Amino acid sequence: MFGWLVKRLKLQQGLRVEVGADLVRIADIGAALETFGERYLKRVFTDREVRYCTRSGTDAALGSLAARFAAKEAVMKILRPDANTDLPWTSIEVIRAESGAPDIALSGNAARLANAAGIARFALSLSHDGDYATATALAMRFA
Amino acid sequence: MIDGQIREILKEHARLAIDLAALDDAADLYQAGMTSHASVNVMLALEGNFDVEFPDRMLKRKVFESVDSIRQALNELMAH
Repeated sequence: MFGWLVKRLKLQQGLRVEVGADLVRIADIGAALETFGERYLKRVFTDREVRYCTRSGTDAALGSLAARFAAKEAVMKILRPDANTDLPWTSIEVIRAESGAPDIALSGNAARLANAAGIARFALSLSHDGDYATATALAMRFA
Repeated sequence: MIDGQIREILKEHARLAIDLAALDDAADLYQAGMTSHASVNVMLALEGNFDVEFPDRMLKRKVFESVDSIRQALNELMAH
């Protein structure tokens, strides 16, 4: 798996844009499912995420699930929890906005970290093709 | 005994870039190559092997960062 570095871009005084990205091997998701089954799904994904990803069958689900794991990791790279902050994977959830675009819903410490960092909102893009899935997240915050 | 089981689980699931035999108990597993997804697999394997469940309050990087920290967490869970 390749991890991308979080870059901090200052667009104008008072507004900062932060970015996180991640790349996931889809086979790793499949292997985890095969090894750990439902336990893996329940610890990493919300029921809503699983329902959305599995709507077209199990084979099509792996790419979607992998993209969502990449999205969670991308957001994690923006939130930068310290080593002593508990942050369940399900506290970062990929949802669908009314437009159909992917969006992020945070809960628990994930929401607290975002609020503390002054993050107004996230923008998210997902993709999967062949062996890999990827996600890029942008967060806009007032400095 | 418990350390041996932890190391076996790390060997199978942590995807470390270094030889596990050379890994000190206090060594940082993330720096040794364990990715976030691999840490999920390690957690699930530990739960299955030791018949415990890591509560949300223990789902933090610090718990899974070394053999020492994993042992400490397991001892806490198995004491209850």
